[in-house]
Amino acid sequence: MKRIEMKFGLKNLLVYALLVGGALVVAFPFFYAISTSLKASYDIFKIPMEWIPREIHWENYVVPFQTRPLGRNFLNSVLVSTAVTVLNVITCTMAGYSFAKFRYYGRDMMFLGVLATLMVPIQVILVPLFVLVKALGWLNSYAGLIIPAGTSAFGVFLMRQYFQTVPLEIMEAARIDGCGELRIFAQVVMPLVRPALSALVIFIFMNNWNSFLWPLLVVSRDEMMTLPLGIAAFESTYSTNFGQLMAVSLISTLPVLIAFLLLQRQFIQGMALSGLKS
Amino acid sequence: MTIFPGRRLKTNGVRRKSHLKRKEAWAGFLFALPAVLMFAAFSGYPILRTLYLSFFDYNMLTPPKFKGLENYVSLFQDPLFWQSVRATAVYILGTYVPTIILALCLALLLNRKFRLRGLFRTLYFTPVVMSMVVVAVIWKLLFFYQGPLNMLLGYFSIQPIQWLSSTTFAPVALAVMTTWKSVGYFTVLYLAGLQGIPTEYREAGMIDGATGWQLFRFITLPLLKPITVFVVAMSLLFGVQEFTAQYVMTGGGPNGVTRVLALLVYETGFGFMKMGRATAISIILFVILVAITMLQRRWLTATDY
Amino acid sequence: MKARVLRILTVTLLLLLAVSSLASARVTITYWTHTHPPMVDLTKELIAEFEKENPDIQVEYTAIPNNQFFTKMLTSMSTGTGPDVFNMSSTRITAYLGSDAVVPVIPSAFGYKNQAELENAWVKGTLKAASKDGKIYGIPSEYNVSALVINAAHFKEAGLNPNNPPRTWDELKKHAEKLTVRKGNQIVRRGFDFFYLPNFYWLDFGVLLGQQGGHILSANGKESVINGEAGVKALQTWYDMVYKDKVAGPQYSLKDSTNPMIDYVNGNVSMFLAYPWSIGLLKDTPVWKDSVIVPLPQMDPAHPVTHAYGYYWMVSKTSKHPEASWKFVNFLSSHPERWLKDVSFIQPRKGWTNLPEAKAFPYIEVWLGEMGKSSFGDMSPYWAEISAAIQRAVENSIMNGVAPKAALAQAKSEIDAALKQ
Repeated sequence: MKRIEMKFGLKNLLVYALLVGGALVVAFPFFYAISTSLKASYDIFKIPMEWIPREIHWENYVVPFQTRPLGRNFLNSVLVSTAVTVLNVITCTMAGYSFAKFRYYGRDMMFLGVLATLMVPIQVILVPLFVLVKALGWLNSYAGLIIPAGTSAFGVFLMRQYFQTVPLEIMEAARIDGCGELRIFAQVVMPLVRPALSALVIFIFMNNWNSFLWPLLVVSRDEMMTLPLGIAAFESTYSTNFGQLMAVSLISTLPVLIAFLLLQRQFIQGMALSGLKS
Repeated sequence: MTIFPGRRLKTNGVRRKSHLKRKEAWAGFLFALPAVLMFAAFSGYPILRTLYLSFFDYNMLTPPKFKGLENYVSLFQDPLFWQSVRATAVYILGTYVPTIILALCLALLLNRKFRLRGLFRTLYFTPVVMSMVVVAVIWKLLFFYQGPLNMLLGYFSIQPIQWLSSTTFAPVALAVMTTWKSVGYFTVLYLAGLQGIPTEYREAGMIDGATGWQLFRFITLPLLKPITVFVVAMSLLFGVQEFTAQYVMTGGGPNGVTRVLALLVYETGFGFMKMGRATAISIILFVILVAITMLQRRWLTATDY
Repeated sequence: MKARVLRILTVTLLLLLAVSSLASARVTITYWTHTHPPMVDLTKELIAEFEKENPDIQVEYTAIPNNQFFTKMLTSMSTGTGPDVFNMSSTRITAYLGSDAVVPVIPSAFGYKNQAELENAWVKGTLKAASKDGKIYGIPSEYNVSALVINAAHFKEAGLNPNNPPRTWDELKKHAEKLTVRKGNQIVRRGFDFFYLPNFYWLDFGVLLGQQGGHILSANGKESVINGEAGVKALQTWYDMVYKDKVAGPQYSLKDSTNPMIDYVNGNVSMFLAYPWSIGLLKDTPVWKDSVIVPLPQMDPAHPVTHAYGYYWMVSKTSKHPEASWKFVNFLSSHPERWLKDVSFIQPRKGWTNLPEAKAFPYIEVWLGEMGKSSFGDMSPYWAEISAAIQRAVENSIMNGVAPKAALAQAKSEIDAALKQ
């Protein structure tokens, strides 16, 4: 008995050792990024490099917000990413529900068509998409930033997988009780797929929060720019303040990280149930 | 367009039932409609337009000129295009094979109950939420010849490596960076898969006297197959779409060894102002992807458990 | 009473009319540049002044991240939603001129009677990069020539006289040999090196090629002659520095396009290329006090060749207000003193050399000397592809160690293919 306990102790120790080792490897670039974010511009490229800055420049975290409209950029990003996420939750759950739980002509073709859009490199469709958005009069507007991103093939796929785990009987029972389809969807089925929703929310929010190329094309006015565009303005032809760039970049990842922290258990649960039925 | 799936039958009761079925089919169709319409407008139309443009000479400043299949023909003859095909394959295999293996290992480690589990999970996931632009800037500095990584290697008396200016190591550097960035995502997916496996399976195996490795090889791994299939599909899509990493870290060099197809598309279209040619590359890429996905499906059905 | 009401009404109406007609006469022009913080700041200042002077014109300014400038420009121009005024490098201009995407200058907007008078207001040859078929399409916002910056402290350490800088590439190699500091098989300090940055491969190799009397394209522009004797000699010069003399090495370069001067600023290179804008990056650093700027070395000092490149203000063909747009460009280009002082940009509008700011500009005599020898290198609407092919050839040779001749043969076939497509 004692031997077994010891064995377990050793095993756990090994697990911890591996995890800590892995964590160190993962954390190393962050350590370097944080160290860089606290350096003066010219100290960053000093050879040999300083692991911990000789002089610490906390102002790198403050100055950018004073000299550039990053606050406004941040608000724009929050607004756009939230709106996109809400739209996706609506369109992807509805479509996923439809593809998983209904039978009608053309269903599988539509689903395949949706999946096929995943396989086209985004850069080339940017131009025709831009032409379309221009024709709709959405350049330099929130509509132009939000609506084209309002649904996602990956989201539809994810929700379809998850809805397949919901037993048909629940819907049938509700129908027999005389519930309308919309009510079944909103009040009977939706509560069952909450874990998958957190997976969807994180995925969509994250992608949109970091979205760069599309906002760059659609927006030409400073007051409409999102955070990634605001950060890109730090880079310049002949000189960049890397310390400030790092500082702002690190701050910009916080919202998504916090979202993950809050939703991670549901996120994993959501993935767990949807991923297994392929 | 008829949306009705069932056949019309004569008995009254069945007709009533089929009427209900029909209503249901309509409801189902309407649920899909918003997403489908948006796809049609914001993906479908641009993709068709892309296909159309691939038969033209288009510099984006003057109207497109019809060229027939010339874009495709000249691409197949262009050694630079084939170099990019190779670079893409190297990038995807070099990045995602290690990523998937590492993710599986990490998930197995994280699937135990212990303190600080949430903290580890979050830490491993952090690179996933960062934007690729930022990640690439950080790693470009890390990989510098006289930079932090070579300094670390120097502590173990290893000669500095020309990470970004050698044709051998530049693809390695990109793979290392992307692995770091994406391993957390796949770990969480595998973790989800592991948590979906009922404990009875493993318990039954243990009663039968299976070793740890046997449990993993014959119970866990087969049950994780759907996740693996999903993860492989995701890797392919992520890998093919990525070009920010290469653009920021190596600019496609040295001598084009990291100029992946997505970067070639971007460079050809916006840099060289040959949008018709760029769209032709993406159409070829699309065909390749669809083919691989179908092969993967076949492989999946062929070896199903 | 009634009459008074009527009068008030009429006056109000007239006033309203006047205001509304004023409002409709007020035009808005859009202006895009790449991002470069000091330039962006000065541009904003100048726009405010311009709007004050011209209350009928409003300027909407956007700075676009460098890497995506052309992506945004092309996408917008293709749908007619591009800016009225934009700023573009001379290397890219040819493609835009060939596509009929821009309009010629309107001399009257500058206060000149005709094009000849306008042409005469700029230093001879500096408008050439933006000219086509006798018409002028752009006004330079920055005009750059290369020179050499040397670290005098390193020179003295190595027993060299900074007042006697290298005049030829052979002399430069000899100096570099003495300046290079090695530790084992690693270089601690390079005697000389190039930039190793995308657009600069074309410039660096281009000037070596030009000094050998060579060209990238044949006289008729139909094929590449880059792998001729001159080209091979030019690349060999670079190759030898890395592999034979071992005074340079691409791996040591930070290759950071956001700060090309960083290697020199760090003290890791003793002799480096410099451009007028480099002054802005050097003057606040510790190495500035030891830095001396001298003319670019030549292959043959009797027949000096040096290349120029610039950025030009242009007006889009889709602009609804070309007159106002050129008027704005005239305003921007009427303050060379501030561009010099705040941003270290040289704007060759005649008379700029007499400005006190020009006289105070570091090493002005060197810059003027280099400008006097300068010309634009080979231009082509396929510049972007040619530049990429040159970059690959240089990387293949300098980083992979492939012989210059073979590397350039590959470049030739790539350029020829690009010209044919």
